[in-house]
Amino acid sequence: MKCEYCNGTLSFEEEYCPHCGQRNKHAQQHIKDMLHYQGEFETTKKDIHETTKEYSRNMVQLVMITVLVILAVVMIFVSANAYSFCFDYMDKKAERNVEKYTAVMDEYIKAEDFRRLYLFCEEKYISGYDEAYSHYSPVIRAATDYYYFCENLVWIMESQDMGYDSSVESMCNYLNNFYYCMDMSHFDYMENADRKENREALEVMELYIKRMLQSYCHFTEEELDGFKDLSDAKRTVLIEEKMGNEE
Amino acid sequence: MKSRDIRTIVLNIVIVALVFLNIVIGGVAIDEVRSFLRTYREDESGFLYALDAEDYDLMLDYYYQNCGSDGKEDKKLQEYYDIAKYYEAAFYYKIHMDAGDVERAAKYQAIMDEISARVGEFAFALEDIDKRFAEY
Repeated sequence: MKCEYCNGTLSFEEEYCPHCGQRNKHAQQHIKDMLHYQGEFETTKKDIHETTKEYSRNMVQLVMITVLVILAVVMIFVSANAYSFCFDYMDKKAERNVEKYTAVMDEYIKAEDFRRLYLFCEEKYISGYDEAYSHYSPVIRAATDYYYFCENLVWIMESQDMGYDSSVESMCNYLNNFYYCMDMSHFDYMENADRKENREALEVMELYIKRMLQSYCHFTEEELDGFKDLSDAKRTVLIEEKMGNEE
Repeated sequence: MKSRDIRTIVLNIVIVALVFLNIVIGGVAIDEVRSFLRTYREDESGFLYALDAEDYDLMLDYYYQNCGSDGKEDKKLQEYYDIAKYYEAAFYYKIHMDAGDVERAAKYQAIMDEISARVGEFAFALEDIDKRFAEY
């Protein structure tokens, strides 16, 4: 632009003319406008910055809330299904180790240690209903009844405070369940359950049970003949009579 | 107070509440899993109590509970386990001896002999067990 006093060339921002030294009126207005616009710019910039910051903070909060809600839902699900997850895990472990575990079970059966056989199956979550162990089903289930039959018998022998009558009743129930397992027709749906090895193991368990009844409940051999073929009710009555006499 | 400040405060309160909720639910979930995996073990005082009460079948229960089937025995409790195993062997020894099955009885006799040979201060318990089974 040109200076209005000396017509010399000067820039828009120069407050005084570099040629004549007179004040540049346009520059004053320009500087005033620039200061005003700069102020507005700074205010707008600050507002945008603060708004963006606020939104970012809220976004972080919302993300945190979402994550926490998802975590809570997952934990509620885990908590509600913890047993199921653990059972599934142990079931799968038992399935994976079927050869190893059945070898151990065979050892216990061979040693006629049916109580530890039960404990082993219990520990490893081997059930008589597992497909992988279906060929051991009668023995596993009978070993369970055998274990609790022995436990109740010992309680009766030692007259534990659990209650004499309830122990006799409980012992009879386990004995009846054991004889149920001896009937292989109950395992028809289980693949290969009716095996020679299973029958032999069940016979040994039955032998032990009969001997326990002879020694500790004072049954005679004749009384125990055909014990297996009696009805549950008849067996229970006979045992209760014997135990009643013992009292 | 600006509305955005209120929004931030509300969101913070929600976050804190959710954190507490997660801590509680997490605790419950961990407890559920732990209770499944937990194995209850009887300590020496339990065995000593059973021994004092001459409750040998309780010792056997504790033995089964502690050792399960794997037979991993705690050396500190070995003497108590020996009494429990002696009681178990005596239980089976009697039924086979009464039936005249010497072969099976011998198996349990061997266990009883082995334990008798190494038992220390609790020898009185073995004598008591022998006496008890003789009376049945």
